[in-house]
Formats: sequence, C-alpha cells, structure tokens
Amino acid sequence: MKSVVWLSLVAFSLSVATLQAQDEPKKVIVCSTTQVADFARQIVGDRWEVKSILAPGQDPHLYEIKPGDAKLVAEADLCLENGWHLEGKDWMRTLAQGAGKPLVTCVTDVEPLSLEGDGATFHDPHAWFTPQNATIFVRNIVRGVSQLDPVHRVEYESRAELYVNQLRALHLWTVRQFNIIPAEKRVLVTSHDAFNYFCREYGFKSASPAGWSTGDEIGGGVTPDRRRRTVESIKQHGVKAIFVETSVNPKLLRQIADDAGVEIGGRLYSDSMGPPGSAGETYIGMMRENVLTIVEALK
Amino acid sequence: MRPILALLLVVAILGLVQAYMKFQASLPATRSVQQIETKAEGVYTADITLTFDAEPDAFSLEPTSLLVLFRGQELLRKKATVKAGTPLLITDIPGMTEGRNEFYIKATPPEDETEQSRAVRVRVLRDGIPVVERTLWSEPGAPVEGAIHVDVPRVVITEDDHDH
Repeated sequence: MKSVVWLSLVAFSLSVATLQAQDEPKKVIVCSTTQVADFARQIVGDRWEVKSILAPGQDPHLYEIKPGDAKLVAEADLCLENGWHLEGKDWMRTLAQGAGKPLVTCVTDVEPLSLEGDGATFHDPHAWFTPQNATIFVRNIVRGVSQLDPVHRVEYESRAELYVNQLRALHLWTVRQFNIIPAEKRVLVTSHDAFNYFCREYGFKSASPAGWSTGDEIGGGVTPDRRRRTVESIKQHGVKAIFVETSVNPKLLRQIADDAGVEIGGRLYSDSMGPPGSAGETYIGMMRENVLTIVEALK
Repeated sequence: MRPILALLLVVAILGLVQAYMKFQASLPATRSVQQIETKAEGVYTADITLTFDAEPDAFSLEPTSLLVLFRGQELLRKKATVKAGTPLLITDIPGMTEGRNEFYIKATPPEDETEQSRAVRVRVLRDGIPVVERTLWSEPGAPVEGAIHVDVPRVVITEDDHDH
C-alpha cells in the first residue's frame, strides 16, 4: 500500500510540473555577440529566451556561419546584431534575412567614429565601449522587443531604466579610476583597433598593429606599416605596458612588446565577454575588469 | 491490482486538479476596495529652479534634461538645455487630492561635470502661497532626482457646518 501512495505522489508531482510547463512558450532572441546578448537579457529578464551565436572569447570579425546557426535563427522571434560590419561579411544580417526574421541593428543612432584605411572611410563598429553608447544599444533593443511584445513594454522599459542607471554608475566610476593615471601616460596599445570610442571618452591615445578588424576587410588586418608605427608609438610615448585581448591571438602583441621593450599589462575583454563564472561574463563586469587592468598597468 | 489502484488514484488526483483549476478560472475577478479621493480645493502651481544648466541625459531611454511627474503623468518634460537660475512654472496642477500627493523630479547636469553635487529648488504653491519648499541634491555627476510630497489636510465636514 505504501508503494501505491508513493507512486501516486510521484505521478501527481509530475502532472503538476507538466501543467506548469504548459505555460505560454517563451519568445526567443538570437544575438550575434555576447555583449548584445547581455544587454538583451538585462531588458527582457526571464520573459524571453536569449541566445548568442558567438560564444565567449570568439572573434566576430573572423566568425564563419555554422550549420547550427541557421537552425537557431529559424527558431528566433527577433534577431539582434551589432552592425557596422562588426560581424565579418555581415553574417548576422545574412542569417536573419535568410530566415525572414526581424533584425535590430544596435548601433542605430550612435554617433559614429570615422576611420580611414586603404583609401576608404568607414564607421568604427566597436561602439559599445562607452556606457553612453551602450545606453543607445539598450534603447534600440527596448524598441525592438516592445514592438513584438507591446503588452510588456512598461516592464521592459523599467528594467532598462534600472540598467542604464548602472551604466551611469559605471561611467562615473571609470572617470574616477582613470583620474589616477597621469594624462600623458594615457596611451592604450591593444591587439586591434577596438578601443577608439573608449579612448575618446576617457582621454587616451590609442595604437594597435591591426586595424579596426582582425579580418581582411578594408582597413582591417595587420600590415608591416601598422606594426612599425605601433612600435614607434610605444617608444615615443614611453608607454609602460601594452595589452592583449581575450578574443585575439596574443602572439603578435607579445612580439611587439619584445621589440619595444615593454611589458604586457594584462588581458582586456574586447569583442567578446568572458565565459560564465568569470569576472567578465557581463558587460559591466568586463568593463570594470578592463578599467582595473589598465589602471594597474599604467598608473 | 496495485498498479491499477495507483492509476485510479492518479486519475482521481488529476481530475481534482483540473476541476480546481477550472473553478479558479471561473471565479470573478477580485473586487478591489475603491478609495474615494477628494479633490483638493484651491489652485496648485509649482516652480522649479535649477542651480545648473540641465542637459539631455545620455543614460536614459528618452534623453530628457528635466522631467516632472505627478501620479505617473508627465507635468513637464524638457528635451533641450534648461538654463540655471530661471524658475520654470507649472500652472494649475491637475488632480491634487486631499491627503498625500507625490511629485517626482529629475534634472540632469552636463555629462562632463562628474565631480560636483547639484541642487534643484522646488516650491509648490496653493493659490499663490507656498505650501512646500524643498531643495533636492544629487550625488556628484548623477542627476538630481527624488520625490516631493505635498500633504493636503482633509476637510472634515461637521454637523455644525450643515446647520449654517
């Protein structure tokens, strides 16, 4: 008789769990990069499922579409991309258009930094590197999810309001932290040209051996001339330390550090955030860690 | 015999759960207790004076330099720069009631001023006479933000009042 009661209880629990699981299925957002996915999670909470095509540490410039990506996008209700060709050969746009899914381009309304290279002018896509621009990304995502789910618009806006206040706190904290580094020592040498917005906001000069992209797009990639200029820049400004990036092979920068006689100051999160459980697993976390790494190396 | 008994029990329990859920869904919506609000007498106005030039907030969903809300409704929203020292007037605040009334005010200092605290002076007037006067302060670099409460005394009508 005891086993009958137990069996009934188990069956009852299972049936209740099944009834609960039969709730309305969650809408799905598929994002190109880890940063965009983090912004989306902050806005939609548990109401949507947020997936990122890039895994932590992967380089969006070099990423090539895999068979599973099309399936992922096919199941999406909304797709989010960074834009301005951060996604090499516009792979996210290609996927979304192929599946006929709505696509939000997060850099929309950002004031672009223009870069020149190989006789062409283009917009620097690494716009998320200032909390102000991150706020614009958040605005665009709120607009996108609210259009698809207008019933919960106020909820999305409320979460976003809280999050952009955290971005404000991050910005003010960053300004205070960099105050320790003398103005003439504010030179940021990194693997590729990802930190231009960050440098403009916080008063740094930037230099890197690769252009805006680690790929072979116009204005991207490593050239002997860029490499030479980076070494010269390090020597000219008496730079104390240079930084490798978590999503870029550090080999070249280590060679440059040897050539210029400087230290590697640490690893910076650039085009991708850190893995789950790491300090850089969120946007605010990755920015905080970058600031602390830079201050420690250059102060 | 035992598996059949278990199956019967499961069916019975599931049936009860289903019946309970249907019963719950069929219940009329809970009636909320209606609060009777009495409109406050007199004409209420407000003036707001900034000690800094307010600029559109880069850290908000809708860049706004000055925002005043009353009961969730916008009384004032400025998207352009608001100059320091010039009082902004809000005439005839609608919906003031007896009891506690709450205003929310947010004004954003220029983004490059990260070291200074800033202030906003707010006055609420009834028929031109100040009833509340407060100064809100900000953390350095952050917007001046907060709630202002205006308590309007409840008018008690006595039997004597009726006699006259």
